[in-house]
Amino acid sequence: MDAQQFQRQILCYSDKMYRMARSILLDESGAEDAFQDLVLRLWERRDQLDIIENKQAFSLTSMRNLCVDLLRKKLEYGGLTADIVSSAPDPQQELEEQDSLHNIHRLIDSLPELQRTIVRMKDVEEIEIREIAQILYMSENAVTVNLSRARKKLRDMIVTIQQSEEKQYERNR
Amino acid sequence: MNEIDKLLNDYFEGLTSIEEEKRLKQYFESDRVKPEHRMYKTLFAAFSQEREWTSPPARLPRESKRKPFNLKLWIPLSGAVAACGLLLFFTTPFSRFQKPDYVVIVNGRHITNAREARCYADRMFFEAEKEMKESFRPVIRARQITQNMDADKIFEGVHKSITDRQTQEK
Repeated sequence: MDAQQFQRQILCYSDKMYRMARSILLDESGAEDAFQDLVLRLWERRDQLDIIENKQAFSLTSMRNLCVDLLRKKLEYGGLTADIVSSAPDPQQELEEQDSLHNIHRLIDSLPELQRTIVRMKDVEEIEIREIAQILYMSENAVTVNLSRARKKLRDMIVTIQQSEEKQYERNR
Repeated sequence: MNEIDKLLNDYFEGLTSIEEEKRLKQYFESDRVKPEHRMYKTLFAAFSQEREWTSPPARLPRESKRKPFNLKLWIPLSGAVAACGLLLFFTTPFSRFQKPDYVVIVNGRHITNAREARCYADRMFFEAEKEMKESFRPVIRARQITQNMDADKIFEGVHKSITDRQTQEK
């Protein structure tokens, strides 16, 4: 695989790979480093990439594996606490923030790693359940269950924020 | 339950297809979102916004013109070279030390090839003959001079010419 083929067949998924890294690592600069690291690794093994049929699935699986390894190392060396991955934002605190889109990004980021990865693959990248299952080495049923749980959690958090906003509004009246 | 409510229910159950989700996105991007659905508008807007996040440009190392080391090619190649080397090692020295079956000495030179020996011998004979001819030439010349300077022959010739003149005068 030469540079042009690499560009056409692998780097066309750059944005998806980067967004996945950003979703897993919850860190923009860390995601950029991880993305660059993966691109270099794939480039060094470009001769072996010809035989891979689904290059999107392969690229995204590689990205996720790399990011999960990075997360694990950070947790081992104390650079990241488990709270960051799973802590839900305080709805009251969220109310104080005016940027509702930013709040939604934070709500998604507050989901467990697997759930936020699945929900973003489906809703942002528009990847079919079958392919998500292939990328994550899971059954389609497991993907659907995790997707449903993630979306329901988001809905519940949005409803909670909505109700808090209404209470706040009535109090201020 | 209208179509959007049904789609939303299916969406939260994880049962909607990509096409159905596109319809939901179109609905929430439009101006006709019902008040009871407005709380989800930001969720779909956030997904759309995340879709705009792009990767930094990938930095690839320059592609080396030199081909990478191909182990599959080098293993049989080096094996073939080693085999040739061993063959030369085991064959050449023995043949060099073996005595040849045919040896001829021509003019002090040892020749093992019959054809070469014949050619060399012919050339040597030719040169020897030439040398001999050249070295005997003065002797032959001296003999000719000796024959020409024979006194008997000279007087015999003179006597013959005098007799011929006397005969004519008579």
